[in-house]
Amino acid sequence: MRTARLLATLKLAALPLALPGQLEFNASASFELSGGGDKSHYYYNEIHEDYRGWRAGLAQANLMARWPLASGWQLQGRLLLERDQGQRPEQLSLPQFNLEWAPKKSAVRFTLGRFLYPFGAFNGRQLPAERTFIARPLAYSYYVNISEKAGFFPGMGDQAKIKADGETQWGSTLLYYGGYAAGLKAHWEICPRKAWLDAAVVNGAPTAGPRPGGPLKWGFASRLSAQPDFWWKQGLSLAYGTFMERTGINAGLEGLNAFRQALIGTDCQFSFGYFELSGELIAATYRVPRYQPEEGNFVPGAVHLKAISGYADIKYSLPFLGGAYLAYRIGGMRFGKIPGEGEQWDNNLRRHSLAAGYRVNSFLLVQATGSVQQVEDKAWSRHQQAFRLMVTAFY
Amino acid sequence: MLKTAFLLTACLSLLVSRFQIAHSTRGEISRGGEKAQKIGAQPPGESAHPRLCGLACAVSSKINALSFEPDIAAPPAMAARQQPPQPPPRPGNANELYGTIGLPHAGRWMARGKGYNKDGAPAMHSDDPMADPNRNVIVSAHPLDFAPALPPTPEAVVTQKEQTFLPCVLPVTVGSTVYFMNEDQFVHSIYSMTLRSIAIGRRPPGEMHPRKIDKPGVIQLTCDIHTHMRGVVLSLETPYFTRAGADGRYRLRGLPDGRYRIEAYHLDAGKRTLETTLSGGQAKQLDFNYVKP
Repeated sequence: MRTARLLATLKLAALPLALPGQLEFNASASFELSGGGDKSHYYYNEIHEDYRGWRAGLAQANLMARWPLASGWQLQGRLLLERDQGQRPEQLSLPQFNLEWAPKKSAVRFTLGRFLYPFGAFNGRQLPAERTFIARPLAYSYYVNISEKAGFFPGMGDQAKIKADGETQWGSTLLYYGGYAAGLKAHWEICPRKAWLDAAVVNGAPTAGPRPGGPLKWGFASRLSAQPDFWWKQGLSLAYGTFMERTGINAGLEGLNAFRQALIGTDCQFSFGYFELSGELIAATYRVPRYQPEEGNFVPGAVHLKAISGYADIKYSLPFLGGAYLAYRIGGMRFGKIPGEGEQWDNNLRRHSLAAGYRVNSFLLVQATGSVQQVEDKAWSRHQQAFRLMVTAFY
Repeated sequence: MLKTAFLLTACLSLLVSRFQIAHSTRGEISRGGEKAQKIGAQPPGESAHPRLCGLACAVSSKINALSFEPDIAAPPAMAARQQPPQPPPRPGNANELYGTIGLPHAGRWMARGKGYNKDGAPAMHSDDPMADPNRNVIVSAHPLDFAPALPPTPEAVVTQKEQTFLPCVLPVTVGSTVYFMNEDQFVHSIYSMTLRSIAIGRRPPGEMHPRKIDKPGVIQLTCDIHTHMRGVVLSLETPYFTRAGADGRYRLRGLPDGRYRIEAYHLDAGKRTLETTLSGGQAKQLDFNYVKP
């Protein structure tokens, strides 16, 4: 009886799908063998501290769907199962779910819902199979001393362990690592096949994740991308918004939306023969409240902090072994000084990564990445190496 | 009166044929001239087929007409190009094989997508009929009693246009040289997943890149940058092959007497194999069915 009811429900749920258009779907699953140095941490090198030793398992699974509703209208979504901050693959989310309208004979189309955050080049490479390296670049993965709940204070998480809502504050990435935002986006093909502009009104600054907490966050992001020649792609991105979130620790702090983050970035890609050179440079400025861990309160006013992050990749496809590549990435972050104090607000760092990949067949990709990083003035510098071997199957 | 009419008709035909020749020559020269330098830069030993020059630019739009469809009436010059290479004449080589292919249909309400459809960057795909697997079913006859001569397939070109291989299945005899050409305004990085020595690298639009196909079988192509792209070079150990028409019909002519393994290949649905014997100039029907019951 219960089975029959379940079948009837499923049949009913499937009915609307049969009406307007063909539902297209793809899927992927990535299994990973990973290990990290003895000072590894998810917020520093994407290897969780409880899993520094070798471990193997499911890292991520995706179900992607596209459903054309009518001429010019479509729904698209991505269901993601991933490791919860590098721990177990228990986090199920819907990072992408939007309605797109592309008017006929128009160079502009609109997207409403959750969509790819239009900033930088890396956000366009969401699936492991689209990435040369398994790990994200530093700007998208390294947590700096600014938290959406506790503002800024030096040594966040590492030296000063301050809790908010039961969670130790470790800071945040310059760009939310998920790569998606919610809001309304317009895409304009300025010059066919040559230049494009994306502009979006979204739910927060680039660093803000999809956290539901108030006050209502807002932001905008835009990206101008161009292809001046067949071998050259160039992008210029700009984003701005609010990111602070109300919680017990900042209850006495007024006007949370007065604290902002702004990012400006440029990215390029050059392709020739068996080589591909690409890179991205991002400059960030913050207007952020300063927290005093000893006193447990905030310094009145705001501090202005600056940081810059970038990476350069070189990828070489092996001419004698189609589908195989070797790649090297150098990435770094540099932090400005705290106004009036003469000290940097976080530690500069540099990361070197090597990668190799091989597409076994039309549905299987094997990738391996090894990285070392040096963090200035930290005892744990050079103890955060990471190795990852990933097998991705896709349909 | 009759004489005058005859004379007028003859003059008119002469004029028309001259115009056609001049027109086609002009087209060949201008397109060939444009590509000649690039083709001249090929590695030694890989000589460009002279007609490739003219074919290159028009290949994606004309490839439909260039497919081997003996059923379709074509002008003599085109018909000569459509015919698969003929083996040396031998007794009883006038057998014929024909039939229909039951073509598969996509699911009614659900199908595999063309890759992750990021908003703002939908997966590009050409509407050209030669991008459709159902328009690229290849039927080949493999002699079991004799080893046929395997002349290289002329004008074997695979282009990349709108992030799509055109044609999506290209049949050639083993030992042929296939020319790869990028017709998009951005780079592709083409390689084969089954014959790893085919790795073209990131090449500019308009350049021809020849690769000799020295092994038989299904050579799967993809692009390192646009991973949803897929195509096949079907390397055959027989000169007897054809591409089924839009209506699913095929016809193979000039088959010598003997036993054959007949194969049909579909990009998505794979191979179907049948065996038959032909003799005495017979015309035999052999149908294939890819439709699921």
